[in-house]
Amino acid sequence: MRLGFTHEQECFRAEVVDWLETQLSGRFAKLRHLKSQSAFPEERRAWERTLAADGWSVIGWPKAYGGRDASLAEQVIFAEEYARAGAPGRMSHIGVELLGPTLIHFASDEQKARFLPGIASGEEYWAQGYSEPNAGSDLGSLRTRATLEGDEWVIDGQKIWTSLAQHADWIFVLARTEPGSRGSKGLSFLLVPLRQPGITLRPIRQMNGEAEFNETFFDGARTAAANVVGGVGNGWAVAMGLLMTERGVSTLGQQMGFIADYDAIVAVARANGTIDDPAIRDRLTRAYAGLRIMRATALRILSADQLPRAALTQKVHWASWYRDLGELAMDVAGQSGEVGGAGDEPLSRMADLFLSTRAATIYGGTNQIQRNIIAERALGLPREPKG
Amino acid sequence: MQFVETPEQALVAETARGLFADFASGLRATVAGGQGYDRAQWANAIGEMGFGGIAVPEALGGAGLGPIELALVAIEAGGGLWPSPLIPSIGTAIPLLIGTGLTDDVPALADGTKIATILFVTDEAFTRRNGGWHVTARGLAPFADSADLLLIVGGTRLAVMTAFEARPAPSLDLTRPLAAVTVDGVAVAVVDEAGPAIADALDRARVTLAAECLGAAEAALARTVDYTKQRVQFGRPIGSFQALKHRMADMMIATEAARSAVLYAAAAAAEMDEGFAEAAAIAHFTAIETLRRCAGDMIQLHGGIGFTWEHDAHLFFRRAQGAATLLGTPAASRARLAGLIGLEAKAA
Repeated sequence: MRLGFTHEQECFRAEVVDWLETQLSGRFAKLRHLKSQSAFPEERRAWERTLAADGWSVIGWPKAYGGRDASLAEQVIFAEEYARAGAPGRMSHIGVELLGPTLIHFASDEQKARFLPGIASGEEYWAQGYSEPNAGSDLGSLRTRATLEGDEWVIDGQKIWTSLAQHADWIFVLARTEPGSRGSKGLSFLLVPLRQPGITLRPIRQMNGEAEFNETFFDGARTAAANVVGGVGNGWAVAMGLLMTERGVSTLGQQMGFIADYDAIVAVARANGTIDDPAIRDRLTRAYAGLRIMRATALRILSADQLPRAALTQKVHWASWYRDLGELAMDVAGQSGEVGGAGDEPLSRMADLFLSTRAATIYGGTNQIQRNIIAERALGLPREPKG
Repeated sequence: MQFVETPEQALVAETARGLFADFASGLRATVAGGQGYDRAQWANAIGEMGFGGIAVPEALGGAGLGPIELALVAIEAGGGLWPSPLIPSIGTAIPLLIGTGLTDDVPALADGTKIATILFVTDEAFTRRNGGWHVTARGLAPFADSADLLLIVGGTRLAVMTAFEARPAPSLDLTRPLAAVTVDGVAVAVVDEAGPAIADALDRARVTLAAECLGAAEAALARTVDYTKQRVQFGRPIGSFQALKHRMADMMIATEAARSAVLYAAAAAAEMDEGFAEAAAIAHFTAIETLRRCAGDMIQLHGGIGFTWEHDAHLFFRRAQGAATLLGTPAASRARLAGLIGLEAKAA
C-alpha cells in the first residue's frame, strides 16, 4: 500500500502541468475556469482536437486505439492536474469515459475501427440515450423500439435527460428490438447518427435556470444494420457493462471541482465573518474531511484489481456530501447570497450551488435506488419484489 | 501510488482475522470474569503471534513492519471486540516511547510481558525536585490496575512511572475498563520539551484506535445483516423491508468511508506524509462516529433482543463511547483539523 508517486510519475506530472499551463494561458485562455458546460462550443471542439493532437485525449485507452496505456497513477495525476489547472469540462466526456471503454470491450473490430478514432481525435461527439419519461430508475421498462427494415434499423420513441445532445453527432440508444419483450430482455445497443430528420431535440430548462439536458424524439430515425453493439438482443448486458466501466478516474476530476466549490464557500465565510461562527466552522471542517475521504475512496477503488464493494457506496456518499455543501453555501452566504451574482448573472455562485446540487442525489441513480443496490449486491439482503 | 493492501499485508489481516475470531467465543466470559482481559489470549496474540511488535523496529525486538500492518491487526481485533490493553499498551505507549527516545521498556511491551497504560495531564503535573522530576496527578486510565508502567502524558512532557495506585472502576465500556489512578512520586524517566514528538505519537495512536473502531463498526453491520436475514415477521425476513435495507446501506456507506479514512491515515503514517496529522484527525473522528452510529443501529435493528444484557450489541455501543474519550474526543479532532486547514477562529 503506497500513496506517494515515483520520480518518473512526478516527471509525468510536470509534463502535464506544463502543457496545460501553456495551452490555457494562450489560445484557450477564455475556457479556463469556465463553469458552463455549454458555452463556447467551437472553442471547446478546438480544445478537444488540441488535446488529441498532443496525445492527451484518451490517455487511459490502449495504444492500439489512440491512447497511451497510461498507468493508474498517471491517470490520477492527469485527472487532478487537469481540474487543478481550471481546464474546461470535456465536451467529449460521454465518448471518452463511457462509450469508448464499452466499444473496446464489446464491439466488433469493424465497429472499433469506425468509431474509436473519431472519439480519440475529438472529431465526433456522443450523447447517451437510456432514460425515457416512463423508464427512469426502472430502466428495463423502456419502450423506444427499433425494427430492422432492409439494411437499416428504424427507431421510434423518446429518450430524456440526454445531456450535451445539442453538441453531439451520434447517440447510443438502448432500444427494444424484440417486439413484445419485457424488462431487460429483447433490448439492443444501437449507435445512431443524431443529425437526421427522424430525430428532434428539445432542451429541458432546469430548476437552476440552465438547460444542460434534452428530450430526444425518434420518429422513423435510421441507422445502419451493422451499428448494433454486442449482438441483437444483448443490449442490457452492454449497457450494464458500460455502467461498470466507470471506475472513478473521472470522479477524481469531479472532486477537484468540489474542492473549488468548497474553497469558494470558505472565501465567502472569511469575507463575511461567518467563519468565526463555531457551528459554521465545524460544518466546513466536516466538508473538508468529506473531500479527503472521497479522494481516498476513489484511490482505493482505482487501485483494486476487481471492482470492490466500496464502489457501490461511492455515489450516495459524494452526492449526499455535495447536496449538504449546497445548503452550507447558503448558510454561509446569508441573505446577500439570495440576489444575483457579478455582472448580470441571475444567481450568485452560492445560490447556484444551493440549487444545482439538488440534482446530484437524483441523476446517475437516485440515492434510494443506490441504497437498494448496496443492500442487495453488497450486503446480500433479499431483493425487492419486481412488479 | 497503489492504494491497496499488498499480498503480505492481506496475509497479516487474514491471520489476525482467524485468531480474533477464535478469541471471540471467550468474549462474554472475559467480560463476566471482571479481569478486564484474558492473559492467555494476550500472550498468544501479542507474544507468540508477534502482533505486539508488528510496527516496532527490529532493533527493539519487533517485526519492523509499520502502521499499516498494525492498523490491519487493530481492525481485526476490533471486529472481535477483543477486550485487551491493545490500544493503550501497543497502540499508544509504544509510539510515545519510541517517539521520545525512552525505548528501554519497548521490547517488553512489544512481546507482551509488560503492559503500559496512559494518563493525560497538563504540564503542571510535572515539577522539578532535587534534580529529578516529581509527578502529581489523578485521573482515569484503561487497564491501569493491570499495568506495569504508567505513562504520564502532558502537552510537552512525558514521564514513565512504575509506582502508582490504581483502583478498578466500574466502567461503561466493559471491554476496555478504566481504573482510578493516583500518582505522587518520582518518575523513572522523563522527557521535556517534546511537544511535537508527543503530538505525532498520539496521532499514530489515534489511527490505531480508529482502525479498531472501524473493525467493530464493520462487525456491528455484519451481525445486523445476518440477523435481519434470519428474523421473520409479516411472513418475510425483516431484512427484505426497505426501511431496514436502506438503513443498513447507510451503515455500509459510513463504514466504507471510515475504511478509506483509516487506511489513508495509516499509509500516510508509514510514508511520513506531510498530510499525516490531518489524515489522523479525520480518521479518528470519522471512525469513532461511525462505530457509534453502527452500534446504535445494531441495537435498533435487532429490536427488543438488541436491548438485552444477553446480546452483544450493548458491548459495541459501550465500546464506541469508551473510544470517544480514550485519546481525545471526536470534537477535539475536528477542532484540531480546523486549525490544520486554516479555519481557526480569528484571535479576539
